[in-house]
Amino acid sequence: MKDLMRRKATILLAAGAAIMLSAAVPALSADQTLTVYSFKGTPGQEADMPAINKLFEAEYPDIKLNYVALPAGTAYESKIQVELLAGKSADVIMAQGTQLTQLSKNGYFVDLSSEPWAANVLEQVKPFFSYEGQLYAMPLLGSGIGMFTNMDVLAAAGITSVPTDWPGFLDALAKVKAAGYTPIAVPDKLGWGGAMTFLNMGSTLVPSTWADDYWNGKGDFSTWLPVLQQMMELDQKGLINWKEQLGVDEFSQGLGNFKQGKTAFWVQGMWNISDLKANNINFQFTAVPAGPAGSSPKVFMYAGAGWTISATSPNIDAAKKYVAFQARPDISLKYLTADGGLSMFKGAPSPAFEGVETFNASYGAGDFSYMATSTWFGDGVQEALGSKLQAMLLGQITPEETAKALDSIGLRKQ
Amino acid sequence: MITKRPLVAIGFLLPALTAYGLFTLYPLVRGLWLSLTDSSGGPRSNFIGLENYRRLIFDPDVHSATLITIQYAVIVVVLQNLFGLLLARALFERPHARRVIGTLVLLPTLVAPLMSSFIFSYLLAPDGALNRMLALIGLPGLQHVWYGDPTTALASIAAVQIWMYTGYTATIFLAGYLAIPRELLEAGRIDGATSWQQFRLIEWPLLAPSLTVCVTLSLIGSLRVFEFPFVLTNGGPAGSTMTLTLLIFNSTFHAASKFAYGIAIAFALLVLVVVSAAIATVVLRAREARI
Repeated sequence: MKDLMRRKATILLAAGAAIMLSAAVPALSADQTLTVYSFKGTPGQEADMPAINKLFEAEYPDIKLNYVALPAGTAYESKIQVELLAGKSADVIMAQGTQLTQLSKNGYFVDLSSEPWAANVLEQVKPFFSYEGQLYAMPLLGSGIGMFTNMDVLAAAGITSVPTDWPGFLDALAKVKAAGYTPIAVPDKLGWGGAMTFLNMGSTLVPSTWADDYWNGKGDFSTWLPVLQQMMELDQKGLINWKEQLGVDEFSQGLGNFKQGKTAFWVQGMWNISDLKANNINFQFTAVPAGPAGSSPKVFMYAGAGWTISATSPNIDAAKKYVAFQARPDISLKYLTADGGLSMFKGAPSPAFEGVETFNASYGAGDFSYMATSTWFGDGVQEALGSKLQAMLLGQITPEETAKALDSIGLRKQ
Repeated sequence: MITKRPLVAIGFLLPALTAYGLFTLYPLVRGLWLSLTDSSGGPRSNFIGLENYRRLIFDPDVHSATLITIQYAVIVVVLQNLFGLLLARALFERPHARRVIGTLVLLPTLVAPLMSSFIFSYLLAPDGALNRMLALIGLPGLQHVWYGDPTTALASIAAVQIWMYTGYTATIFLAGYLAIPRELLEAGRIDGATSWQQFRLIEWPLLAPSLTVCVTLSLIGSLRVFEFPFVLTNGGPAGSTMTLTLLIFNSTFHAASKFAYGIAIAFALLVLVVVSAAIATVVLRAREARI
């Protein structure tokens, strides 16, 4: 009887030890699985991520990746927000824009300010990935928003180079129109195209100090009046039909129309480069020329996505290794080349895209401005701005009235 | 069953009640609570009472979106039911064609709303099929930027919903037609009633139950429309198609600081839908009773 009791006790102890050991395995195991959520690497938009992840696993054989690529957009944003709220999220999460700031503010991400790569992040872009001075994301790519020029259409109109100032631009548009082509396309059905043209021209025409001043309660949108007037001048001179542009979708229709080769200029983002190349379009990507005669335009950038680490991740060290790996200049260059973006690290190489040389040179020389999503242009301003600009482009309000209306839309520091 | 074997009855009810409580009541109560806070979608928030509701009462964007939503609902309810009724009558009078065409008219209902929106986005683009067809048949003067002009954008969005659900409405009206006693229609014909008199004095009153269902469904569907304006115009041009649902979406997902405010607008929309549907049902049921 005693033996039986002893045997039972031994079995129970062994079973208990086995259960405790199995519960502890994830923490003790040498092999860790890192779950990564991303909107880069989906079919058709691989952005070289599968190859980059293989390189990571080869360099860190004790870390296995569970890389989950989901299409970008509201569904992705909602998924990460809900999972973070529920405390069951991926270890590494790709996030961007105001959502990144908001989630950082809510304490969902690990502070990465003291990571070795953090010191090399461009000062101009740090605010987009920070909250209250702490860096919460590794900047992945800076994306240029500017103007594509179909060089074949330009040549057919007798023009040899892309204009760089406003008078030259108007002249080129008139010549293209006379040659029987559509001078410029700015699809604006969603309000995005008009807003991006406005910001693009503003990066050249509005003093670079304006954004900080406005955020801190100084100045107003009257400074932007020349931009608004120039946008209307295009319509007044018959170089664009804004009403028609308001019926064309920026993303599902604009690219297709430009690829048909009937339009000289098209305002969009540099993520379209690979598509245009694949279709053998002879193009140049530059800033929108808006300045006075003899001036050069300043390029306009959007600070895209960044890698963050969930504050509740049990694999923070492994996650930091993954993020540091992505920040390495050689790895970053692979990604930037595949996804069509520019580096946001000091001294790090950016891809030398054909047709983007002028844009890259301006960026490399520091002659750029970033979309102010962390200050006056954050938190829902884009939609409201796009709508007000549409009202002006339809002739419902004047440029002066628009400038006044924008003052109630732009954000100021609380 | 409930009185004789209450435990068994409860056992049968429990799964449905659990799902309803979990997926309908809990989100509703949680949403109501969130609308009383300054939540930006994160775990931290402060209770601010009715501040969000006070704010929406004076918000011109909410006023404008409410007006646009009501305009949209009027267009859809009137035209969808009119076309559905005409189609049902045509099918009723052609019994041989009814089976085939009756199935075909339901096909648009089977297309996903998002897909329908994309199809119409191309059809009604400035260089889309509709404008090209107008040019081909010698009517270039009627060409238009359908979704880029504030005067036509809302109606052009409504056209998609009407196209999708007219067949569905027609099917309900057709069921109503088939329930009308044949002898009544024959008696009318023998008495020399014209087609219009027959419709006005016999068919229309007897179709009252179908009308109640169709009007209520189309009213609810149009007041909470989202996919069509979201894909086709995103609320533009210049806010002329910014419905309440789009405003809720933009507030909740595009502006973190307005997360709780967006939920408050969602509750305002819920009240609008419930009140409108209740009024429509009460009025139409009273009409049925009078008939």
